[in-house]
Amino acid sequence: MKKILGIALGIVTSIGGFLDVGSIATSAQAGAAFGLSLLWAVLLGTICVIFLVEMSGRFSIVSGHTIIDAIRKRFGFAAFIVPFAATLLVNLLVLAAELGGVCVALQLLTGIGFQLWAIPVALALWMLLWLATFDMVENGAALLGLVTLCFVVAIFVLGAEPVELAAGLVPSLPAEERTHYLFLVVSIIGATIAPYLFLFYSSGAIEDKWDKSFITANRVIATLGMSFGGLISMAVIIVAALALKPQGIRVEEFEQAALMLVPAYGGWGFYLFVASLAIACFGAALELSLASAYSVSQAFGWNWGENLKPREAARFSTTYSAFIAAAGLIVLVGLNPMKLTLFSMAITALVLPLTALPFLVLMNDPRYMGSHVNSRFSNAVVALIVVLTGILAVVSIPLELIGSK
Amino acid sequence: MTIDLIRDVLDTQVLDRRKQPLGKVDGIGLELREGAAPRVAYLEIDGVTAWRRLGARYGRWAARIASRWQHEGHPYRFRWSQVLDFGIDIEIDVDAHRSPPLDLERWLSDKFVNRIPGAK
Repeated sequence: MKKILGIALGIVTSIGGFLDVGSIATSAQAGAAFGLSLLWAVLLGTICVIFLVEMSGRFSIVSGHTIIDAIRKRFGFAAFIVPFAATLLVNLLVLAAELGGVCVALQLLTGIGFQLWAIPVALALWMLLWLATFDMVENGAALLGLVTLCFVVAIFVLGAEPVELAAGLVPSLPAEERTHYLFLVVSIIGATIAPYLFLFYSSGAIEDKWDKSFITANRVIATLGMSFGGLISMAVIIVAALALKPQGIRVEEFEQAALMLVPAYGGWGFYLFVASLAIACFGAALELSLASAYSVSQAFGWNWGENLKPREAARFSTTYSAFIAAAGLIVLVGLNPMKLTLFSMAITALVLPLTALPFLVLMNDPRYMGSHVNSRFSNAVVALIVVLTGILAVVSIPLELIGSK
Repeated sequence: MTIDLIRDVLDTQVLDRRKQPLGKVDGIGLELREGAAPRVAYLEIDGVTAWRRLGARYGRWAARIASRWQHEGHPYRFRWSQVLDFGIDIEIDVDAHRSPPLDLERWLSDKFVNRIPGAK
């Protein structure tokens, strides 16, 4: 009974925790510019993230290691540290984008510029981590995140054609704006398969002391949680396609995206969007700060854990404090939050192979996994999606940079 | 039982006798002996040692930064005879509480963490 409750909670938290600034921004822009034709990118990313999250849970259950800890041991410090530093830098950019998302939501609500919110929002985030425990942080943020289900409900209010939805799930290339389309493909996949998601999940499995009786529970949580999460991302594309595209509204700023729920809910739609944006970004910022501090601690063998008081894990709590401060400064500089988000997501896709491929090597090493090594099929799915997206990122990021000048 | 030092020992998590994390095995020292096989003299826990594996220059940078918090006893070394358990992690018969590998932890506690309300 306790396990069923745990599974249910795991699924609910994955749904509530799935949407972040990246999914909202990329999906809103994709739907407004290209209608339903980018749904397949979310589908592809979701398939990959289901596999990766299931693997990261199984890895921690079977080997007793966290992923970072094991990658350092398997490949050695010198080979590990450079890709690790790159991943941390990208995490920092994404954290800045998430904080920026919360600040933009507050700007939409109050009219006070988002930069002025950078310090209060960063401080609120930091205080929550400093004072609260892991379960409060994880479950609280994720339960509030269920407000993002309003995007799914909006599809039914607006009425979508099932045939057109199905057509969007088949990869295609538009006649115009191909470079921007490919850049959005990369950003959407980067937003869906964020490395912090499975690093966080693997740390959670260790912190919650999952044993081998959780192998099936892990599979159920990963599959259902990530599928439902992916559905919400798709819902954002669909709502943007139905509500914004027919009126010719392009999403260059969050202000335009904020209108997408108005046709479905009237004036309340604006507030629902603002609440979804604020909660989803704040929840993701919590997870991201923790995941980064976990990773650094696991890389250097420090004691770590959000259930420890700050003074029991001084290096751990200093790490997330420094991360949040740095991200707050990036928001304060005043880069366009929408652009910052899209580029962070694209760069995430670019560095994804740096974590995902060494992780795949570990998943096939019987010294860690025993009889629970990966099947060839799951290796192929993850390697193919991650490598193809990485190559696409190398091509499309420079093209988008040239085009946006 | 044979142990592959690079594969099985280097970069492994080290815990003290109460299973508190001490750090990673950042370096291994071998003793060369006349007419006999080399043997493991000590295992080293020290961030500077790890950075030195990347290159001498990084080692010097790391040493300069670490000198802010490192007191005596660096690089910290232990002998194989102190190993209590060798599995996923290496458990050794010491007390992490006052040991040199936790200098940074104590330094951050004193300078930063304990000065902020709510840290306890």
